[in-house]
Amino acid sequence: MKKRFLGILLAAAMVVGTLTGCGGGSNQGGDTTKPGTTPTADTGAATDKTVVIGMATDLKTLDPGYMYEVFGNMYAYATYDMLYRIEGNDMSNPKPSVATGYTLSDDAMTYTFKLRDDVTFSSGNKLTAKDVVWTINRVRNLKSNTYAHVEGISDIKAPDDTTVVITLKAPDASFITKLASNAYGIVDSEVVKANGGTDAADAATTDKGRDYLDKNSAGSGPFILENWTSGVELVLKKNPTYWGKSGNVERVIIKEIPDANTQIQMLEKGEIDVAFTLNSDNIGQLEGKEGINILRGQSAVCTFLLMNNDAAVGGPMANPDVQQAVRYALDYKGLKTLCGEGASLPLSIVPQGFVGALTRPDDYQNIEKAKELMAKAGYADGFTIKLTTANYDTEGMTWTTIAQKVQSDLAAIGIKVEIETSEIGVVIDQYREAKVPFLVMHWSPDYYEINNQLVFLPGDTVGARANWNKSDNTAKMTELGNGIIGEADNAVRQAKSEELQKLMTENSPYAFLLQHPKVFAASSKLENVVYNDLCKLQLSELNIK
Amino acid sequence: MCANLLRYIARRLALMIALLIGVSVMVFLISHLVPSSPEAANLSQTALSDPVVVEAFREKWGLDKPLYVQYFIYLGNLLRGDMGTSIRTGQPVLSDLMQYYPATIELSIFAMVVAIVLGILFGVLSAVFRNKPVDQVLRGVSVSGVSIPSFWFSLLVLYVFFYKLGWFPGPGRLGSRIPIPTGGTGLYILDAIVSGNFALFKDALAHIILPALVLGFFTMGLITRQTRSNLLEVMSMDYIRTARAKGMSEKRLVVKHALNNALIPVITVAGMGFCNLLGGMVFVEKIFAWPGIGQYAYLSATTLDFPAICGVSLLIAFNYVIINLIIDILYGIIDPRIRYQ
Repeated sequence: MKKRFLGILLAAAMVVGTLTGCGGGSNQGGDTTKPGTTPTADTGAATDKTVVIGMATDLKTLDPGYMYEVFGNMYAYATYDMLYRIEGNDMSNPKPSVATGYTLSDDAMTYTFKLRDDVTFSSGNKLTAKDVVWTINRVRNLKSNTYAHVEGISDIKAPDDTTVVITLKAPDASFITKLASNAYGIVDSEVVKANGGTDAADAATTDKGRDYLDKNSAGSGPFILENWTSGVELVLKKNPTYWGKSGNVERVIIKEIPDANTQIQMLEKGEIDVAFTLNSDNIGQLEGKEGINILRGQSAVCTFLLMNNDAAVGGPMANPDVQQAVRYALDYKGLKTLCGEGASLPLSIVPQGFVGALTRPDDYQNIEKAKELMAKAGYADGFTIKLTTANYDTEGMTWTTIAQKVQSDLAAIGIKVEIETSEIGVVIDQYREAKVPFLVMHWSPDYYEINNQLVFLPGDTVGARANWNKSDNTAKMTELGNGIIGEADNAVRQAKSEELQKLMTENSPYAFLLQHPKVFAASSKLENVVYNDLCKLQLSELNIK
Repeated sequence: MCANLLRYIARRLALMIALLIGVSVMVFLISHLVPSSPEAANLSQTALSDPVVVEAFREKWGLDKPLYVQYFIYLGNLLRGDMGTSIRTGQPVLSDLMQYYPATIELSIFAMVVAIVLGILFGVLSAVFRNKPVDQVLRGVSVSGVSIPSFWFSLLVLYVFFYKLGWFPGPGRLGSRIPIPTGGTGLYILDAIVSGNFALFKDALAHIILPALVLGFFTMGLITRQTRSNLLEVMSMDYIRTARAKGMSEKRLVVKHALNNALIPVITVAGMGFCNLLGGMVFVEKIFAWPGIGQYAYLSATTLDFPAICGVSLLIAFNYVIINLIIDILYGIIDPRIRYQ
């Protein structure tokens, strides 16, 4: 009996030994799959030029014509080319890419781009102006999330293989910035057409190109899509015919790892090289760890309070004095501390990195002034108001945390805040319908240019959601906004931007709270781990020491 | 007996179709009653403010049609084997389910192996050593199994066995640097056996142990408790007393005569436990980066992806019906007195 027991114990030990040995093996770069012996055609193990990134992406599609997800441009920049691209973390100056430059007509509405003639798609087809035209026309007709980027185009032509002429409906100083986004990711028109893609007027319902582009890249970027299993992993391999500069990474594996603690453990154990979905709360676990670099960047995402300007909806929050009292009552320094290192305080609608951005002083809080304004508004004894928020977070900071901080700050001036938390979809619907009196919300720009922030102006997208309509009082703001949109002179734009922010700081139904920092960690074997808010990680610039 | 069984199965399967249609109606209605919209969940804030984009989205996904029309279109497609296209992924729901479900099936099977083997073993030991230290310890283990939150237990086992001790690999179905196998059934362990790839087999098996342990622990607790109480009840019956009086060994008595009778209610518990597992476990899947049906269901729900929500609901309902049917058939095998009518 004892012998049998010992035998079982020994066998169990062998099984555990085998399996744990296997666990260690996977840390080492995985030679556990023998090519050709599994059910797959390609189970080639990772080489030492492979980078594994742990992330929780929100990718729903890999079709650049549809992508609006936060991580969309990370993929688009890796696999596609645009006429202009963001390089490094300089978001404000897109650089020529497939285009060598452009000329602008006197009316600032017609751009003529000259293209390189040495760019080929991964299929081997040559990239020409007709591919650019087809790509943009397809996006115009798909009428999807990317539509905002192309809506301002009235006409697009390709007079020859290396010239593209784009005419706008009105001058738009942000056009080159828009060009540097996934909406303008140039697809191989022959390949996509052959696989069901169309740029016809009814493309919104007839285009089938997405099915193909979710499984294959059809671009000329530094990487080629090897495999995408939604919610599992995205694998990219180096494009051997890429015309531009790129790092020495041969393969990038982006693993979907939703839990931040799991990412931290896997980074420490060497199973991944980058732990991306971290925040200021959990980054401390990696501080001082050998072989790991903590990296910081700045996101353009801002959180703000929306106070409904319609008294029938917002009640006391519609009163401009109450709105300013709220802005004075908030403890901005405390908010910054809560948000973590790298957080900044936008004065108004323009975040750091955009033209003319101004910041709010840390000591902006003034409870006495806030109380005076409350008394002036007829609310010396305060009032009770519902603050709507969502089960959501911005760069790891939950909106509920923000709401609780607002609740505690506003108690000092007699405003009793009752927090109501719902799912994000429910809150977005209420916000869109301008039904919320007091709300915690964030704004993530669709493109990284001040023009995108002008949606906060009265009567525009966000303004309408606050029931903030155009009036004589807001005429100056509207004038400044209109002046910014098409102004080509950057110095003039900067001056107008600053004036607009100063006006809106104390005269708008918003209290801008925070511009959130981005923090993540990477193995020290990696170089050029560049973060910018558009692409998140610039995969093409990654290098292995 | 055989004809009766076949008639019984046919009747149950016919009822299943009616049940699944009922489920589809319920899910369709409930998901449309949620105070949110697919537009808000799937379009950007800028796109939402553009009527052209919103209208194109509604037209594309048939949201511009009355609800009953949407349902009948869905039902018509369903009867032709088309579960629709997921709004979120843009892929046919059926192919999405075929992608995510094997991960859940594989994990659930291993979790059930853990649960059944340990649950019955612990239950028997607990009953045999009633009120002795072994019983006290095992009862403690089974209570822990049903009361420890699975997300916490997941974090704990990962921290201890992966991070601290390094005995097991980290999260995921395979090592992070190994491209996932394509083709095959999606059940990596089975695929590895079929293709004779021992390296893949080892890696997949090593990765499944910790999540299977966590998920199996809960059902194990239920099975232990059920086995113990049933066995104690059976052991006090006259036929056992008679066998014992005749001098039968305690081991033979338990294994050959008492356990079979004690197992019938255990099968129900195990079956329901298996159904729960097959429905996906969102937190455990999240912590172990396990791309199963729980994650898919969660993401579908949060984006109000109606076709996907209905697809997952039908799949889970189908599981319950089939597993209940199997349980009923097993009753008859374990206890020949049970008849199918």
